[in-house]
Amino acid sequence: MRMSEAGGFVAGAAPVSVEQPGSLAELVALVRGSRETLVPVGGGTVLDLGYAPAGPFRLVDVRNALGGAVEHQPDDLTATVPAGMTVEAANAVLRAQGQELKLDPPLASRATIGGTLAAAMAGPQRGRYGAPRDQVLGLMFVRADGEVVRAGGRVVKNVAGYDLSRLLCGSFGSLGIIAAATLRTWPVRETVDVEWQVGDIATGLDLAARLTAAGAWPEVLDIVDDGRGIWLAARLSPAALPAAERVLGGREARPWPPGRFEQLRDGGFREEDVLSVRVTAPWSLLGRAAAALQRARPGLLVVRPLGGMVRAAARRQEGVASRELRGIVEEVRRLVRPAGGFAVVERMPDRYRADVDPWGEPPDGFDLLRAAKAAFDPEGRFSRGRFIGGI
Amino acid sequence: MTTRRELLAALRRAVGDGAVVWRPEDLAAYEFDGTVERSVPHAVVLPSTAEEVQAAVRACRELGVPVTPRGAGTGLSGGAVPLRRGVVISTARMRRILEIDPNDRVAVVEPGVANLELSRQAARYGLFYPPDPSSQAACTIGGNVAENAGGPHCLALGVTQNFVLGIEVVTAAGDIRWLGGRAPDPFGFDLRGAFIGSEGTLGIATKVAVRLLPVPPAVVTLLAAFPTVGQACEAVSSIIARGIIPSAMEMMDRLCIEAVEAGFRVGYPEGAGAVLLVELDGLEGEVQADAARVRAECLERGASEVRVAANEEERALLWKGRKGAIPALGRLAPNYYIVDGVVPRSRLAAVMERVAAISARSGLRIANVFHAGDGNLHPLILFDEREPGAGERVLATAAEIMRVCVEEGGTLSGEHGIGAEKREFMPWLFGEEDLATMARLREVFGADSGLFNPCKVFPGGTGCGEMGSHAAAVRAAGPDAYV
Repeated sequence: MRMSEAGGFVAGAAPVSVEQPGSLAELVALVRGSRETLVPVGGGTVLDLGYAPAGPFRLVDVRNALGGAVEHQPDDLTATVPAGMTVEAANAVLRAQGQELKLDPPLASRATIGGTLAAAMAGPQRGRYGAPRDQVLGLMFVRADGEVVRAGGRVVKNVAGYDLSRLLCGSFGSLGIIAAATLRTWPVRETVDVEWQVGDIATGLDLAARLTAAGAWPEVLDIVDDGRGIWLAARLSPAALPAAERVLGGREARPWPPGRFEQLRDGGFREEDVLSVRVTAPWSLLGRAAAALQRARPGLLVVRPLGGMVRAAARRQEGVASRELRGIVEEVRRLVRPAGGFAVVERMPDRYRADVDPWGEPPDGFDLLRAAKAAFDPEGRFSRGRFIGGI
Repeated sequence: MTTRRELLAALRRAVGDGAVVWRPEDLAAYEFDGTVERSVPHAVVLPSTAEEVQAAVRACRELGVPVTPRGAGTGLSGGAVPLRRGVVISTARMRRILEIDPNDRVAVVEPGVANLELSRQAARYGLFYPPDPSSQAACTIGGNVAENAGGPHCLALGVTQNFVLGIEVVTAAGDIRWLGGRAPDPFGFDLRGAFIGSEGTLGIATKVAVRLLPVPPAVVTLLAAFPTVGQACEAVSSIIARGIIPSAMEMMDRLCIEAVEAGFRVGYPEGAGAVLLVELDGLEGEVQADAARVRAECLERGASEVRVAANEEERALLWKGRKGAIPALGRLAPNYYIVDGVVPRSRLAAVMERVAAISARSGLRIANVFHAGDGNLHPLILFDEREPGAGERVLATAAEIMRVCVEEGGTLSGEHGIGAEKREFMPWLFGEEDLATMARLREVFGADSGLFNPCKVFPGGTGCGEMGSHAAAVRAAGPDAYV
């Protein structure tokens, strides 16, 4: 996170203060006593995303308040994890027992569990294992009035009551502060990492469709254009490799180059990245969305067909001027919006913000989103102005 | 107060004469679902479009009349029973599959489409819809959304929540809104996810966009017989610990096996204390390797026999026993009552012992058939409603089992819902503030008046009747009851 005098910037805006409550009780007291908007933050990996908060705000680093140990139940394939812990730290504990979380957000060594869920940041394993929300069995969270409440439970199947964890996941810190989560854990499986040169993205999409139609269910299946070629990168079980080779027949294959997984996961959020655009759309629109994003001259383009995602990332000296970027993003939005897709500018230089709307127009049914904000945070205490439509 | 005449006139204006059911003899079909609750509605409407659903919801809202949505009525928690009477809105006439897109692997359907029908139609493109409640031939996608339905094959792939991309709903406020769309992630708060499993208390789904998966090329089904349920439970844990997550892991206890054999003669090993049905699917090579490991684990954990279905016919036979288990139990007693609870998988064996102790103490026989892979129990309490006090004893016994599930770190329902049946147990799981926070979701959908599927999910409420006070209402769920 970039630092101002007071602390980290949020979408280009400086907070009036950075708070570091040391316990859940201190966090609750802060929530109860604060008049300014509070912007909860974990590792700060996605603070550039979204609008700047409306009005003066305090940045609340929740990592000390929401610490503690992982409670792992390996036989149940579940773990309860404090929200302030990083994804990598949690996984280090679980891997000692041969299991792991299927959360792989950008910069997993910094990204916290709470931040990953709140910002709905998925990674290369999204296609097979679903979004972060799909990993959540239960949540504890701090309500806007400071009350600490629970939703869901600790078992893998549960339909008791409304699933509020769904509402919190992806709410971008604007409905409540996630304090702890019970998550699914997964056995670590033996895999092989292999990639095939595909020539262009359309061919990559076609091969991905044929590979999965043939019954392969890869842990990772991304099409990546890294400026040195276009590859279909797969992480497969060894038993699936022969079937994959039959489908991909005759193409040049190679093992992943070093750092491939991190590139697929972190692209757009690496130190040198200045621009990142993420598109979510049904499979059939991914090729056209990718073609439009190519015009933004990204140094890295990742298409994740099973996750319905395209991400374009540019470093300094790459990318396009703000007006041009706006035109491209608006074109993509017109393409994917009717299908319920969206294009989010996850990262951009601050000077672009006047021209480029990071979220785009609110979706149909925005009145329900506003009603949700009003129901869960009537005074606008959490991250006011940050999310879609300035919620 | 609205008169019945006024109500019927308003409903006819909303949906037309031919879509309003009002004769007492016709209304009787809408007074129950798959469970023991009963209440006759004042009227039923059968809309054909979202606009008609909207018109009906608005008419009821204006008149202050309770609304209860209904799919196929196969629910097992009383969710579709109009406990405060009023109007039942049935989706029975909304049963078109609007689109199956094989490129996007997405289907868009009306809510009244039967679950199995969707998979049947999708099969033409080599695709299927994974959630498969045992009632799948009858139960509807709209009902599945309301209950967040599961099924035997949800272990590896997930439940309804994991497969619904978008929902067009008529909210309790009477507005038509899309939650989510055809893309994998919703834009904004995930109200789609919050709506799924809300048991018809927030609105009615009028279109549902779902994700389909390619039909796996290879399937292997194994049947392992064990001397005891405890050993079978251990086998389940050790299979998972090996890193294998089968598509299904189903268990039946001795009483169930006996009933199935008496009913169908599927050839389950005689004298077994438990049978475990394990299904693996995927690529041929992967599946065969995993099947060998599953077999080895079962034998190691004391299985007396492990059979592998050699062909589709044998596979169907093994499943016939599982899917027919509950109707088969109808042979052992005139009535049965199905309980749905979840415990951590590692507590399964201990919980089964506690259930056996409850059975011994209550004098009621309890058979067990359950989704062992995810710790989802379905004890079936056998009884005869003609015996005096039987109804109360059954409900008290079911409550005791629920209590055990909660004590062991589990939950009140894995797939049947809270409905009317278990709402009074909710405070065992959630504090007052937790429940109040959930209830805030009602404000979002305009359901805060409590007239949309009243007396469901949340404890309390006036005019809802008292669970357990109507012993005479406790009856057989019938041969069309499912787990």
